Amino acid sequence: MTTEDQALPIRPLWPAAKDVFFISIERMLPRPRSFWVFVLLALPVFFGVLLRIYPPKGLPLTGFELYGIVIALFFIRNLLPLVALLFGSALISDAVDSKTLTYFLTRPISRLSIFLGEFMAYIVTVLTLTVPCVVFTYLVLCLGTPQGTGFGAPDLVQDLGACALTLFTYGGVFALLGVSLKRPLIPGLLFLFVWEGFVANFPGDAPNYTLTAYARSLIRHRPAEEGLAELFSKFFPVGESVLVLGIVGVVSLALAIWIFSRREYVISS
Amino acid sequence: MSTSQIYEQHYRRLDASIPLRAQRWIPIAREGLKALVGFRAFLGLIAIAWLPVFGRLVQVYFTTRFPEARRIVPVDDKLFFDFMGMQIPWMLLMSAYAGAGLIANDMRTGGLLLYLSRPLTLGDYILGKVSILFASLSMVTMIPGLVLLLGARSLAPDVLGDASHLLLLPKIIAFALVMILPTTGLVLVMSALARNPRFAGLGFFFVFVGTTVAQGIAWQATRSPYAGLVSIQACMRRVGEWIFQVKPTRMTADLPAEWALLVLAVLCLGCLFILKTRVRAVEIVK
Amino acid sequence: MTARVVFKKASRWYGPVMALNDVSFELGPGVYGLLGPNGAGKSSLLKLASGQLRPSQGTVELLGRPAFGSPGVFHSVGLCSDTDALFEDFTGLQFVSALLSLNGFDETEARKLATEAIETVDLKDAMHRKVGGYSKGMRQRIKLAQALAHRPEVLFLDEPLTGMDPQNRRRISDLMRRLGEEGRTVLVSTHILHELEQVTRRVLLIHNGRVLAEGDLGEIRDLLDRHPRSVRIKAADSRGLARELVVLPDLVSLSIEEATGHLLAEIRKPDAFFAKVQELSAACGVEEMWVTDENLESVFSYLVSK
Repeated sequence: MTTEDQALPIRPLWPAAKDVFFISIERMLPRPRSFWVFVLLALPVFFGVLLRIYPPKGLPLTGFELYGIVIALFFIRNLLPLVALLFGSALISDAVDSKTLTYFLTRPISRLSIFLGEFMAYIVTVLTLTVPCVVFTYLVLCLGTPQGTGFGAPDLVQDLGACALTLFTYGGVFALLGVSLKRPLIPGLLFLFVWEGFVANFPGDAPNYTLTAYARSLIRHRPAEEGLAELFSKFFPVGESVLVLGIVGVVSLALAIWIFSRREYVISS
Repeated sequence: MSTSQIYEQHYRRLDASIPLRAQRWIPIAREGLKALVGFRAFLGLIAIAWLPVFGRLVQVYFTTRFPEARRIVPVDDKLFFDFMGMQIPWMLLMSAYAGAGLIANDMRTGGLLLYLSRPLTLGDYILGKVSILFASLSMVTMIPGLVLLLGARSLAPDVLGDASHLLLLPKIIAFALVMILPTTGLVLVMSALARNPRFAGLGFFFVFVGTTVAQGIAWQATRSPYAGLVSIQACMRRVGEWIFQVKPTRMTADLPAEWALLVLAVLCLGCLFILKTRVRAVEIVK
Repeated sequence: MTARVVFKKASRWYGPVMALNDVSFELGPGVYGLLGPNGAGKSSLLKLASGQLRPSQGTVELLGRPAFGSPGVFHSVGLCSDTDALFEDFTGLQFVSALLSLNGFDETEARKLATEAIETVDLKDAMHRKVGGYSKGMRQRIKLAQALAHRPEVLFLDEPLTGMDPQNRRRISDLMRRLGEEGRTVLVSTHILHELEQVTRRVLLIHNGRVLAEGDLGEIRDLLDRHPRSVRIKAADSRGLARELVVLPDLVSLSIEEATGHLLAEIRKPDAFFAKVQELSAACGVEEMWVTDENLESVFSYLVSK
């Protein structure tokens, strides 16, 4: 047997990515950090239960309106981008820090399949943590109210889509950050709280260059803004928001894959 | 004559006394700060956090040139309260950068064993780590606040030079302590629990931001000022409003400042308790 | 015989630090020991050979293809790295099976191969336990199992005996020898010199990023003609033997060790010396004779001092 025969072609993309996915999901999902993230994301559910048990006198909002505030402020604007930073930036850097990346790099699979497998595991993990929290928040706040759960059901479906797209886009951006930088945490936080936090409320075209402006445009029943945001925040058509977020997510992922494919990882004891 | 012996294997009480030096935590703090100062990112973060000091000093100077401007931008306690409040984001970033790995790295690499194999107690170790973070956070809160006070007094002695403004010094220090101590406790707890600095830093942000957003939602739902007790940031600001005697924000106007201070105190004690139980040299593998 | 691992004038640097400098060699079937002090470049050489890094200059080929950027070769290549990193929440069997699935084996085949590999490293009793609870030696063995499980033609083992007790070291050393006899290429990096000598006589000696010598240990020793051979002789009449041997022209030095009474000689031409000792063996009561510096440590220290 010649040496050429011994070097078989690399495994096809999707079977290899699927195998990487199964390994990664087992390492990502049943971990203490996933549990604590779930607890934090479930805070609105606990709060909603408290409100239903001890309803304040003269509650100024309906359950559906309160759910809208939770989705727009709690999930889309604040917590989901943080979740994406936590899991997205750790996509490859977690394997580098734990020194287990070598096991993937010394298998007959392409780096593209490694990255895609990890990203699929990320998507499944964050959606597993987020979707039940959003659905239960909706049910707790709207079940048994005069409007009922059927009233906002189409919005719930759209909101779940908005959450998924937000997690996809931010996940792609932070995956790019994680692959490019050794310490992506501070740049990620600066991006979220300085760029996304302030620039989105600047006058003029500045919000066009933020992701959060498009993400919150996806929430049809979003609450009225307050303060500076009331004056300057911009909203975009849903179609345009989906397109922009999708493109940013895909381009970020493509760049991340390109960098990962060429980068050397010096992993030693 | 043989010197070999076989020893009886029963319990023996250790009678030795440990001659410990005083201030054992100082070397930990000193080396930790020296290591941090070597990083350009640390110095860069401090430099950016100090920019608002110059902005405020320009503001004060502007009011000395155009006294009518003092009606729009007064030079009083509120100036310093607003300045300190706006340093909170820099304090959070500094916490994530300087504090998230303080204990996590030691626990992950086994460095904790190196510390505790020296004549140190667990308390010395924790105190040393707290000192590192306290000093780092002071550099973006208390110290710029005091420098702003000095600069503003020298620029506007007619406004800030009188006796009524002498209390500004302890007020700035007090508010800085209210900001720094709970933040330090929370970051170190995250660092001790997470074992990975990235997760510790993000966990800290999750809690800080999550509770702030939860306060906003709770207030929207109930219009109760006590919703502020859920948010660490809101509690800090409420205590700060009380210290500086400034008009409170709409959401927490009727929240008693003592309650906010109590929440922060309980948080600090809780963090200390968790640190003492969590930080140990031996991990029991189940 | 086609070389499976080929370095051609390969160099690697990390910023201003030169880790490997103009290294050229070829490895075919058999076991090769990679020896060098800390910082010599052994890990860098293994990382280049296993395709984790690309050479800054020159080429590194693995099974006829560039080592970096050719994942297809890993169907036939296994790596046991020196890092103590595993999937802590997986059981031993799950860990090896999961990695085999990345090689393209289906679940049944992966479990079968994983079980065989785990039995080879004597971890069958612990294979259903989580890897996070393994001792250091067990962790090392499970790492070895994942490197062997897919029956690769080329194996890179970086410090494979670290943390193992003597019994397991012997077992793994026997395994490495067997793999070499089966025709596989095994490159072993280790500091445990005397155990490496039991596994292979073929060595690659590296120091300061350069290959000092490669080949059979005895042949390398022969090439070091600057250094005379050291021979120890146990004889009933050491002094009588010494009187006869002192006239030999290629004898460098001769002494009698006070503690043992053994004769210690340094010689340039061993063959003539051995023949003379053979002649005198009956008369002087020669009981034993052995060369004391044909070992890795001596060879290496000679080469480094050159």
